Amino acid sequence: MFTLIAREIEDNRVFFIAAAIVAAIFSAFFVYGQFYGETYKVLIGVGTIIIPIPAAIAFCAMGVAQIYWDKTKKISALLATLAVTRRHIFIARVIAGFLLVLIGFVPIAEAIIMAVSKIDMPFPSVRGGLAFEIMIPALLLGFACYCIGLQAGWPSNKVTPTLGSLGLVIILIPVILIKGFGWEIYAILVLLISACLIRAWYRFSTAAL
Amino acid sequence: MQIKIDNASDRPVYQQIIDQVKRDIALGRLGKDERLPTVRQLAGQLAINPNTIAKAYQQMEREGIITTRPGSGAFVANLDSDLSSSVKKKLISEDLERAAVDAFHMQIDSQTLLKWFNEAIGKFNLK
Amino acid sequence: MSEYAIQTENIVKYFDGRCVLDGINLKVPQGGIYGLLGRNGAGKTTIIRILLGLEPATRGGAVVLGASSWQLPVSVLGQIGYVAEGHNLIPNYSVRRIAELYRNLSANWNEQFFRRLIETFRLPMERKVSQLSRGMRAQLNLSLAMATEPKLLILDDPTLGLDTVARRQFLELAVELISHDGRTILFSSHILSDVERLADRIGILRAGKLVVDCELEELKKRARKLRLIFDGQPPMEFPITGIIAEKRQGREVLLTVANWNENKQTFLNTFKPASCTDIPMTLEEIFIECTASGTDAAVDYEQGEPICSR
Repeated sequence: MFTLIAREIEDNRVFFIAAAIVAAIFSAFFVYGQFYGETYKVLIGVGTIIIPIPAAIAFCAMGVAQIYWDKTKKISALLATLAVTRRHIFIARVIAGFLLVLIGFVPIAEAIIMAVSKIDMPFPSVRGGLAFEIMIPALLLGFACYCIGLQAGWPSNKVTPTLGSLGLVIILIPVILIKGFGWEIYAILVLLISACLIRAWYRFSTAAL
Repeated sequence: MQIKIDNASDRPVYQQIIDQVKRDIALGRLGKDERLPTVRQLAGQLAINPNTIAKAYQQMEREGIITTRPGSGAFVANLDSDLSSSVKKKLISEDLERAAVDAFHMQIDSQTLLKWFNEAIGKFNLK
Repeated sequence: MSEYAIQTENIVKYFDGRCVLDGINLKVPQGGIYGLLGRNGAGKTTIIRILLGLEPATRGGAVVLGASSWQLPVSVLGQIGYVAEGHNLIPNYSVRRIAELYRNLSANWNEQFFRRLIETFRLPMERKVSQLSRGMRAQLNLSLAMATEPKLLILDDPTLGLDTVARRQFLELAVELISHDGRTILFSSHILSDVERLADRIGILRAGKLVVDCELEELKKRARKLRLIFDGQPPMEFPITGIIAEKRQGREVLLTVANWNENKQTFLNTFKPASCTDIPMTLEEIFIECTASGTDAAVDYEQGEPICSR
């Protein structure tokens, strides 16, 4: 299993390296941002809204890339004839995607925390000490984008539903910020993730490799 | 041991191997108690399926031409001269019969055939 | 344990509405070498892919080493070595990386054997797979598949692109592999002389059906080419079943017959030919007669049954 995951990461290292760099830069800002003035805080606030969008697209792209390269280079066709099953391959793929989100969502979460705690924004439902409550939905959001990409990568897939799902997730971000991290948000995200994963698995397990 | 396989022949490959081993024994190229290559060695040498070689060896053992000793391999059996001469007779008879059949088809009478045969014997100084 | 390494059950496969496999019942006994033959596009690769669970059958299935082919468990997959058609592996990986992948994802990797093969074939470890010549890719594929010490080796056109020496090396490797007890090889090839040397059993695919499924020696006994010469005009037709091909020239008739037996010989003698000679056929000749197009009308394999199937 480890080999499979390592293989996924190495093949998609572009994503991981980019995510790590972005996370590092943002985290640096996060730490030093404590000592900067108001303008900086406004920038952070703006960033909170803007950053998640490319991140969402990037996560989605990772999912698409995995499936696309698999089809083009017939990677799982080779792997499936070694001592691994399709299930192993799929799980390793999803774990790799999750790891990417884990690295990449950090700057987003940090941005949100900074905005919430430092800036006077009209977020009435957001309470203090809610790093945890921000992290989980952010993680789920990122993972949801990835999962959308995962099931979208198949050649038989239509573009519109993919863009639609992605749009939905992106819209969810400000909704969360305005409405707060309620249980409805969790439910929507978990459902979305489940649906995507189930669909992706169905496609992968029944396809000709 | 030099074996030549002819895939175009109507004789099965394992039979060809047996024929050639018998021929080698009859012609003195393989002596009593001489060790034959293992199935694996011969299969690798000829690049043919070991099962075919195994079949040939099994048949030869049944016919008493070779004996196998576990752990040591296959050896030419202690053929008494009778058996050896019956093998020789069979080999030569096959050639003679082939000549007879051809002669029949070409409508050559037995007198002429015998005359030609004696010429051949004379050519090679058979005693 | 079944005596068969592979057993298919009426496999039917449609591609875009076109029937590629029409009820294939293939049986590969354990411990032997099975040669699968057929013209290009006959469906050899499709059958092999179905056996490995890479391609779903439209109907029917297969049992490979005791497990259902569509859901082969790891324990069985670890015992199967495979060389795919085209030998492409993963094009942008280096030889070293591919070897690493195989090493980590195989049940029984034999590093020593792999090294020996790499040295024999002189394969460069650092080069990318896509940059290797076709012959070297074939050799790499074979090395990888054999180093996993498989119980069942499935080879799809393994000698494609190999030069004469390399082909011979492959034959010797295959022979060495099969010398281990209980190992089985299924391979498809266009080089019939190779198949003739190695195979115990032969299968010939034609128009989606397995028209021959037979021991090689048995096939040579049952598929006969006869040269009949008649004193006068030859009879207009020979009402015996299984005539694959018929060529007439003057007083001479060349008959290729499937499922030859004594009865047919007796029956043929009633036509009183002046001479009846048996012309021995190589596997290549048998194959060509069995698969040449234009013999459709004449093809009348014994009641639709393949030659020699049990």
